[in-house]
Amino acid sequence: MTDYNYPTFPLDMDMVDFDAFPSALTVGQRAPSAEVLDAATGVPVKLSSYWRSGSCVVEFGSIT
Amino acid sequence: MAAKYAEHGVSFVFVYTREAHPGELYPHLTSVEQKLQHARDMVARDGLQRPMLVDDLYGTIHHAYGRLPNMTYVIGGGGRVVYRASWTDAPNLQLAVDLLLQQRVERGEGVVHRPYYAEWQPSVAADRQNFVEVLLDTAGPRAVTEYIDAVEHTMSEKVARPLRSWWETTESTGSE
Repeated sequence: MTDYNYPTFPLDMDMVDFDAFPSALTVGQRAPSAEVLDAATGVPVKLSSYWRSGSCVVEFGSIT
Repeated sequence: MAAKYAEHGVSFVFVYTREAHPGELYPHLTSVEQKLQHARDMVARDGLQRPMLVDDLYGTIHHAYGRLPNMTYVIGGGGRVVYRASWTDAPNLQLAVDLLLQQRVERGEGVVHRPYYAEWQPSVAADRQNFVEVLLDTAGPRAVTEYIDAVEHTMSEKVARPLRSWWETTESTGSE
């Protein structure tokens, strides 16, 4: 967990992840899903429920 | 953008990841409760209207999509990835969604479509000065120092110099 939730910004800016992105999950592949928490309610929801009836734009990020 | 496309059946969600630049104000995540709170703070700060979804503490979903700090995917109605970008860029995303909707209309009119594969490497303005100023307000001084160190390490002293100069001045005058 410490590696993923790093306490200090990596000196290499995690460039490994940027370099690997072209061969990561690619277009045409089935979008992964898992339970996530709705921040408004704290209730678990399936991520895939948001594209069950149409297209969905999924943005990732954090406050920092 | 989310409101504009909602009437066309396109939903927008945000997935909260790890802290990209942990600092005094928002340190690295150690609990789901803390992650929920940071996500709620972001909703309040940015006035987000779309659903804010919080990944587990280990970043299961974040890992599955590539672990980048500010990436965007578009998932088609069939549950398959139709667009992805390593950096969220609203104009670029809008092009993709508009095209997706246009194709849907055409198929509804009986036009036969076949998929093709495309790659593209657009660019966005890299305003590092503005970035560190926002980072100072959002994350705190430690995050600024660590970011400038990383810029110097991964790019060059020349690129980092104006940022370091600004930061040394800011710190010495105590304006923040």
